[in-house]
Amino acid sequence: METSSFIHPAIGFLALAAVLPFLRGQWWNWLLPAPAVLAVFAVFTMTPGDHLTLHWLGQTLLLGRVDKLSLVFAQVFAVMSVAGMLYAMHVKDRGQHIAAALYVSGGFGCVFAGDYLTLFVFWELMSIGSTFLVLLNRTRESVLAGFRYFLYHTAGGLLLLAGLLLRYKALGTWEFTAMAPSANAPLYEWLILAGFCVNAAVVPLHAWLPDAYPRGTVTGSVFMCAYTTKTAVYVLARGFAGWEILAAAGTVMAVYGVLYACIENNARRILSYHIVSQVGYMVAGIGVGTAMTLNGAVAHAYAHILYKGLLFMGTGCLLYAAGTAKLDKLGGLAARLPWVMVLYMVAALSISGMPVFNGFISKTMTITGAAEAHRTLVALGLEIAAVGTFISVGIKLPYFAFWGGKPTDNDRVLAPIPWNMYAGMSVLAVLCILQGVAPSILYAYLPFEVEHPYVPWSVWHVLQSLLLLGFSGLAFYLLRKVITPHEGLNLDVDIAYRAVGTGALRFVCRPLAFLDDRWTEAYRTGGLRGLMGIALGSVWFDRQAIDGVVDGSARTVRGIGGLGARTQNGSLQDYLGLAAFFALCVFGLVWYLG
Amino acid sequence: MNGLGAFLERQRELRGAWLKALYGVLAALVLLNLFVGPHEPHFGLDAYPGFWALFGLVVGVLMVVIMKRMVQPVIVRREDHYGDV
Repeated sequence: METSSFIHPAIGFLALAAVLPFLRGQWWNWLLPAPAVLAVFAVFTMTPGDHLTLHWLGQTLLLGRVDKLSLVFAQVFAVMSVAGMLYAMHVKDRGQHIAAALYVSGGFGCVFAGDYLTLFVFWELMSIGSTFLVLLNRTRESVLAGFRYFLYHTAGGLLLLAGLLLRYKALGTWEFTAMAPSANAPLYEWLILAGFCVNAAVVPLHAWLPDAYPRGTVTGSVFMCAYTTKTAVYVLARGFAGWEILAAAGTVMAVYGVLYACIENNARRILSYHIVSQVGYMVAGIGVGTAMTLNGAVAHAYAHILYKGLLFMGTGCLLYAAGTAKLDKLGGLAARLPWVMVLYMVAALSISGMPVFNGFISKTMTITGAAEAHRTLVALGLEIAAVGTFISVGIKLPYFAFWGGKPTDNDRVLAPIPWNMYAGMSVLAVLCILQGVAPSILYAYLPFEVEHPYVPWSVWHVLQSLLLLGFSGLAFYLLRKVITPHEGLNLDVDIAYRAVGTGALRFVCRPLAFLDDRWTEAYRTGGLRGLMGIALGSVWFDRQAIDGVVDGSARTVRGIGGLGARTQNGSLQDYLGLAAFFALCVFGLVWYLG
Repeated sequence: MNGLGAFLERQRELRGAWLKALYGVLAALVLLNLFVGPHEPHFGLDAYPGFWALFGLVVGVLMVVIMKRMVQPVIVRREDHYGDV
């Protein structure tokens, strides 16, 4: 086993999740950033190549495929985990930290996975970890959203599983390699693509995202907005570069997301729809599939993780301090939360692609790449999305949260924001500006070789961005009375699967419950009497013969039965947690023995 | 209220000046666009000065008006439409 130049960044997070339940006192919150710092160290010291091969059930698994593509994603994952853990340090609920640690380790596991089996294990670990980040918000709303989220991701995971099993049957290998785009690709490739697209929130498979992310915990949603969709972008970039359908899907996502964000009221849901939109840029770049658009997709994923994390942190501060993230309930807070506003604005200008901020150097690369590949419609769609992004996230959200035409709100009681939340935000804000000013900090890590490197800082690019953003800002100013957000729920495609769910529930509740009633009746009259007869016989035999011998073991059995009964309490959260726990134990054992 | 908060509070009274500055900057940008253009226009029309200004304004106005005035009235429901809240 070759480990000399490779520490798997997931190790620290798994260790944190394992020890956290057993630590006493409160000092452990200083431990939270440790695995993140270790991950940064690991990423910057590892050498390219294949590390950590594992033999299991006659299969060879590759846990550490290190190349330029996996390295750049691992790097931004590591950096984000430092900021995320800092931001979450004040949270006393250990469950949230354990869920976040498992989730992040799943992200690293996927990025370094060289085969589909390893990928699938970590893919599911992410799904479980993130489900808990929603559930642990502990409101009725988030528990329901968590259930839907988990069901949806289980379905997506099953598509992936079906695809990779069929692929193994056809090719005899689990190896995770690029699939050549072709019009008559085999079914298994489409299944795998569909599984990936669920996590990438490709429209119309996206509804889980704006459903769950606004309902996660304040700190949990910060983690979720970074890893799930970007892990999907990574596997798409590795497996499906140049697939035409992704160029179209990405453009649709980019526009669809901003249209919904335009009419949303909940700040965290506006940001969620903008994840759909921003991931659309990346998916489109992957679909176009030239070296420049692929680099653009990777660069945008990197920049996006930094500014989207910061956006969720900023709105998280609003939710934490004011108790709501709904824009119609906020306003007049600029003078009371000035630094939250400033840090939020750094991220808002970054996502809008304003010069000096990092969205400017990543977004324009994808658009220019698409235009140079003569994909005019793709480039046009992405420019339209850029206008909507600035209007919704760049102006509407901060305007109605911090000003909204209301006087300074001196009456509202604001919970004081702990220092560590500011610290986490500052890390990301500094990086957003650094990358924007000196693009080479990011470009140096881009994986694909291009003939003519893209130069963002030209007079024309700056002028074009300022014109586009300046005049979309003017559009907002003219229509500020029209765009004022109001309370309400905007129907989305989840109306379809909610109907399926409600239908299934009715089916279970009515005909099946009827059958169950009849069966219970029959059992009580017929089956139970027979059983009583046998039992009486057994009692006699038991008293006469076995009593002394078996007493001890009976007690043991009762003990185990009791434990079993306690674990089978019918709540999905506990089953999920137990399943993940046992899976990790088995995995650890295999790792140790292998 | 700390220093930055007080500064922001003062800026609210200077609203008119900020607005004039915005108009000034926008005009200056369009003026600059007369002299600086793209080497390789992406869409053809974007070779003309003022294209991106018009693009931002028109797309922005259409997006807000269509989504808020035409689409949202059709798809909006009560907050607890699904009984989640």
